[in-house]
Amino acid sequence: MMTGRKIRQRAPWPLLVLGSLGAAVFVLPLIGLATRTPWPRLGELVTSDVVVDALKLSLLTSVLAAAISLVLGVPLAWLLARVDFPGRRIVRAIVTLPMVLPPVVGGAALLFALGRRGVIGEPINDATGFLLPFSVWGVVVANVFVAMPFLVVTVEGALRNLDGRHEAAAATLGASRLTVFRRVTLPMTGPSIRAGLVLAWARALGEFGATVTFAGNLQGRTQTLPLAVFVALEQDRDTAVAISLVLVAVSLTVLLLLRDRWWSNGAEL
Amino acid sequence: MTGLDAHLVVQRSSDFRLDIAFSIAPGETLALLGPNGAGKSTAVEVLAGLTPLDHGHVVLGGRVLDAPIDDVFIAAEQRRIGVVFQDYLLFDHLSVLDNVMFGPLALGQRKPQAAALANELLERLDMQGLRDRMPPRLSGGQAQRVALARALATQPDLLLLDEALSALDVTTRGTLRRVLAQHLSDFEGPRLLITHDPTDAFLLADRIAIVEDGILSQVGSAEDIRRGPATPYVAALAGTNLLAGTNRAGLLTLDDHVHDLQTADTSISGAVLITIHPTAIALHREQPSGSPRNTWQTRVASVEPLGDTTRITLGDPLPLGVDITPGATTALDLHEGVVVWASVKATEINVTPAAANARSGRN
Repeated sequence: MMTGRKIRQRAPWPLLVLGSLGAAVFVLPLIGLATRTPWPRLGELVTSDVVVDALKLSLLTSVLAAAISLVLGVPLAWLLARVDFPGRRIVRAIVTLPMVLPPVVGGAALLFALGRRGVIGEPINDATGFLLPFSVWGVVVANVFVAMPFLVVTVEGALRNLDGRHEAAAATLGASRLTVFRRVTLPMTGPSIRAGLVLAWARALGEFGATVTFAGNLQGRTQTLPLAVFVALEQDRDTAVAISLVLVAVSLTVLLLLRDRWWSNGAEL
Repeated sequence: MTGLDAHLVVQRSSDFRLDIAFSIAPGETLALLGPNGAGKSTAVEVLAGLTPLDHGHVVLGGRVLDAPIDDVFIAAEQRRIGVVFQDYLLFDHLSVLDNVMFGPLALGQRKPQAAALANELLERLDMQGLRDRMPPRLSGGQAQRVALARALATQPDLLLLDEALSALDVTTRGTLRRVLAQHLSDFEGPRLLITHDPTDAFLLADRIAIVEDGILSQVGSAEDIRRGPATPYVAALAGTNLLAGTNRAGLLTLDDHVHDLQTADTSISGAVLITIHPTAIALHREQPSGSPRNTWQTRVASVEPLGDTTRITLGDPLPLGVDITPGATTALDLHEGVVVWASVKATEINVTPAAANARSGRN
């Protein structure tokens, strides 16, 4: 019988030591959080209005932002990977800019574009009375701004790695470019699209700087979990810890559930 | 006019230019045979519409598909050319049936019609039982049949087979070549077989066009090429021994020679064409011990140096060409008139039904 026996291999000690230190960077803060948690009052704290409002808003806006990133980001990644248009390199740099830009700067830039006095915001506001900043949709826009680049970068990389021969085969079978995209390109890059989607969602859930600048900090409207933590840190440390714990729990659950099935980059289909 | 008329000119780089012209009649199989790097893949790309021509033209069934001088270029998806790619390029995320339905659906057929057509093709290719399987779980031979069914499902005007057998191992090749021969003759349009393997070309094609360094060095029937090879490469290719005979459960009786051979291929019986690659024949000065089934004594009729190899032609009972290294020639002290033992493994003797090639009038 081959089952049941495994060869035990000892990891070389330099890798073991450095790798363990690397893991400690992530584990220690969680331990710190756990030691400061007011466990007896936890139930009461996480069911308070502030926390429940923030949790609902965070889930709603991060999922919406991930969905919008998917619908707009995949075609954008395709254009960047497959169409040789003038200024492509500049567009690519601008698209990935939010990954390095301080989110506060991004929020301010959004305000100048879409705010009440913004280039686009003003005419829209004059015409329809609709105002993006300081609304739930403002939170979503801020989230999309910081999260979509992660999806675009991931998917564009996958599209570039696709050698194009299957797409050529589909073309010889009579498929138009759109059909090839829908029935061959999309399924073949599926694992990367899903990975990009998870990354974008995770980034949106943790978003703080652009949101607070562009959408403000109104409980029940624009105050997401990260903003609630920040406010609570000033006033009530126990609440801050409890909200942080909620964020950790939500993120960890989603990552654990999705990582094996969604994020293995197609290793097992 | 019907059929394919092509003059392919592509400047690939400063030192490689493809410039070949040929035509194929409906119902005719032309093999484009040449070594790697001769320009065969470029020819596939321009015919399929994946790369434009620099000069020349492609006209299929009277329809101009590519003509740089008139600024005509029909995109791949509108060419109606069925391509069986070298590594098949099946869609791994679609079942066998969905792969075959892909073309008809892309061309705007409704689902029930596309499914009916796909099912019919799979049945004809004996693949009905695997229609729900995913391509990663198919053998090489099964994948080839699915690729063929997928190409035929678009009801193309030209069937283009790009090294369709080269991904298979030697044993399945023989069987698959036969399957292919049968389905090629079912397809009524022109057929183009791109290959580097002379056995495929000799057994499957009506005419052979040999491409070397981007140009055609010779075009003709297998017989023409064997009788008068135009270049050393063609001469080496033409060395592939082609015989006609009858197969009875692996025992081959030859039409023109009093000598029997054993083949490992017992799946077909009756009139067959037989090929033996010149490097598959071993020569010995003494009778080999534990002798393979095909061992016989003969004399060397001629010794001809061809650069890297030496071509030995054997005398009666079987005038076969044998390619061995110059070193082996010296070691065995081979020259005209020397008595030698020749041996061939039964697995190295390829057979194909003679009927599949009857149209070409040679057997």
